[in-house]
Amino acid sequence: MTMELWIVRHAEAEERRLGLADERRALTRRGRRDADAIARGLRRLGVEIERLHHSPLLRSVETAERLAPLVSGETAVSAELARSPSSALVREIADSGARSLAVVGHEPWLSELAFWLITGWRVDDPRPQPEWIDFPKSGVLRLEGEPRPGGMRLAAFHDVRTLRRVRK
Amino acid sequence: MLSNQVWLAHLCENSVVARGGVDPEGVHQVRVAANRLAVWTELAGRRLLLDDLRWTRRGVGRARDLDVLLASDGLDDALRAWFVAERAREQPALVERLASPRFRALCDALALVEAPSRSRARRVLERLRRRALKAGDALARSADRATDLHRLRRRLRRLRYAREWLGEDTHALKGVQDVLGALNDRQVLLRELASSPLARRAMERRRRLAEELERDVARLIERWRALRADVAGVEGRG
Repeated sequence: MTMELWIVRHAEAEERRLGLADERRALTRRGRRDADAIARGLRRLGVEIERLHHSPLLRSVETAERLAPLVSGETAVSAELARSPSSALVREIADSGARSLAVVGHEPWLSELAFWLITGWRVDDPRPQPEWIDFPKSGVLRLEGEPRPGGMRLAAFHDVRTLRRVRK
Repeated sequence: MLSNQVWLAHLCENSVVARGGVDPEGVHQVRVAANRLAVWTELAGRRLLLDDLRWTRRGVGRARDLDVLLASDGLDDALRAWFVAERAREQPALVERLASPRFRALCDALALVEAPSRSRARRVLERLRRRALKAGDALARSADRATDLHRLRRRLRRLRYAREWLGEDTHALKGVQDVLGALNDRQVLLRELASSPLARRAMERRRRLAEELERDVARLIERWRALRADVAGVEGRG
């Protein structure tokens, strides 16, 4: 089954500091503004998301919450989005049954996932890594195709600046 | 801020009891905790994690319904044996769900998200109160009483939990919920009877149950004006 996969990196979060567990890092004021801008930009582009999966880490939950109004179906928390992408994550994406799925998570794992789905290359692959774009916070990738390693193609990349410029 | 720590711990602890499959209280408490945490999430004005909590509740829903039926009087041996077998069939899926990475991730996420402020929670509470009253008022002119009764029961439960999160008295509301709870138990028994292989044999019993249910719903509608004041609470009594 072919699908549209929206890969969203969480927005800017609090800096790491002593006494603040990594999973508790919340979005900064700018991060909240950026996450709102992603949601607004995607809505203006007419994006419809059937399902949304997100990592349980706070910065990802807070980013996903702002995208939730774009989702026509269910949202689901996924531990697989808080670690290096595994076959379980690819299976989760394929088994979602959604024609349009958004995943919200973290670097470097989202890039690894995109690489894997597009080229079939994984971090443990002995071949050299293909060239790749810098995937910034609040960045959005749109992949199309079959959700299996090497089965998708990169259809679009949006950063928050371009999404802000989308007019009604 | 309204902390969810106590009910989150309750959910996690009772998921272990529920997976054990020995004490029916574990399943019941998982459902209660998931319901309470869903209301807590609503009070924060959040959409995320609500679907995961619903997924958790659904995973234990039928098991809990069957536990309630098995604890009731008046089941003949054949029917009891059927319900025991059905309950046993529910257990593996229940265990799988409560041991799943999604359930663990839900608990992790619930421990991290910000608690609702009292002022926001009060605004949501007012909306829940209006919705519960609307559902009760709609029951009298309902064409599908089973669905509307279920809706009223759900909305009253959410209202009660919301008030409890805010530390308000819910004594009167519990009374209304007890009435609806008894009606729901009858509805569940009817549904389970109808889908069992004993459905034909239990025809007479089903007919009686359906009549009793119809009569009790009519009584509830008659009493709604009085119950309405309990649902509305102090601010709605004027």
